Amino acid sequence: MAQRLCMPKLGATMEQALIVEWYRKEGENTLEGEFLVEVLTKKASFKIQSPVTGVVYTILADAGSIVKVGLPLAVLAEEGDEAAALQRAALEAEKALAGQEVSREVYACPIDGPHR
Amino acid sequence: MKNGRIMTAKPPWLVTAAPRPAVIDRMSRLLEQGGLSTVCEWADCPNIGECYGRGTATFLILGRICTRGCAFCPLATGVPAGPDHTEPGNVAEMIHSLQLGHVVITSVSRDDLPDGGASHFAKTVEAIKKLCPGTSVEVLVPDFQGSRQALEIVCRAGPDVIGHNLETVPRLYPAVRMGAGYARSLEVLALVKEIEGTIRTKSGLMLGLGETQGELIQTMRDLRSRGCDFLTLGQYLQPGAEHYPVAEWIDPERFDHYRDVALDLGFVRVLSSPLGRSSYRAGEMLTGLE
Repeated sequence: MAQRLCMPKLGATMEQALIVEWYRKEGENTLEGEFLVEVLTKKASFKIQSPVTGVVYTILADAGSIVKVGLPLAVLAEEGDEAAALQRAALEAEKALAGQEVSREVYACPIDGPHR
Repeated sequence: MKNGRIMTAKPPWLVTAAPRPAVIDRMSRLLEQGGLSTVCEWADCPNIGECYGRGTATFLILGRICTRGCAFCPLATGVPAGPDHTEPGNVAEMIHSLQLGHVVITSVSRDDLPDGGASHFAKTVEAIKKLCPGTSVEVLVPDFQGSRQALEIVCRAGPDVIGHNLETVPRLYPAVRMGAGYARSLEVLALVKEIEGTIRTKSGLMLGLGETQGELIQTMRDLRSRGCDFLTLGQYLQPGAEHYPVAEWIDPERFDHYRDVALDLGFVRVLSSPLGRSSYRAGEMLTGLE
C-alpha cells in the first residue's frame, strides 16, 4: 500500500521544519530504516528514516520548502502497489500539503564555517 | 530544488537521527499519563532520537515556565503555577516503568518560590530513591539565588550528582545569561562540596557563543578550583530567530582537544563533543567510580 512519509513532531514546540536535503531521488529504491531526508527545525537538524522498503514514488516538498508537522513529504511505493492507487495517494497528499499555512519566520541563521 | 543541499544546513556533525514515530508515541504516552515533561522535548534537544530510542529522558520538573529569560534558552518566561505535589511520585513511577539505571532531573528557575524549588527537588529525589533504589539520581539545579539553605535541602535528599551549568564564560553573561551571576554559579558548586563532599558535582558549557580558547580554559580552571568533578562541553544551537546567535561552529577535533585540556586540569569525567549536552549519556560518567 502506498505509504506517506510525513513530517514528524520532534519537539514539544515544533510546528514545522525546513527540508534541507533529500538523500534519494524520485524513482530510486529505498530501504526501511535508511535515511531519506534531512530536515531543520528551529534549532536542530534531523535525518528521517524511510518507514518502508520500496521506491520513492513522489517527493512533495523540495529542499528549501517548509512543511508543517503531520503533513506529507513524499509518497513511497511498496512492492505490489498499483499505479492507479499510487497516483491517487500522491494527489491526496499534494492536496493536504497545498492547504498548509507555514510561517516564513527566519530560521536560526547559518554562519560561515568549514562545512560548506 | 528537488535535490541538493540548502545553504541554511548545519554542519554534518550536528545532524542526528530523528526518533521513529513509534518511539516518540510510546514516550509521549507515558509522559502524558504522569502529566510529566522532558527537557528533551521542551528544549528541542537534537539527541532526542538517541535518548528516547534507548528509553531514557531528562525530566523537567516544576513546570515549563521560567522566571528568568536567558538568551540561549527556548523555554518560556513568565509567572509559573505552583508546584504539582503529585509530580515527585509520578516521576518516580515513570522511572520505575522505564527501568532506568540513571536519571537526570532538572527544572526551570523558580525565583518565585521561597526555596527556589529546592524542596520539590528533594521530594523528587526521595521518591525515586524509595521506588527505584538501584537508580542513581542526578539533579541539574538552578542557582537558587546562591542560597546555602536551598542547597542543603537538595543535598540532604542524597542525589548522586548535583549539576549546575555555568553555560558560558563570564564575559558573555550579561548578554547570554541575564539574571544569573558567574561568581554565584561557581559558588553553588563550591557550596555543594562544602555541604556534602561525597556528592559529585557537574557543570556544562556551551561552545560557539563567541568565547575565546583562553576564556574557556580559564572557566574550566575556575570550575576545578571549586572542586567540580564532571564537565560537559557541547555546541550551542540557537533555538529560534529571537535567541542569541551562534558565533561559530566548533568542529569535533576541537572538542577532542578541549576534552584533553579538561582532563589535564583534573576533571574526573569529561564529555566533550558537538552534541554533548549536560544530561547526555549522564549515567556513563558514574561508571567505574566508587
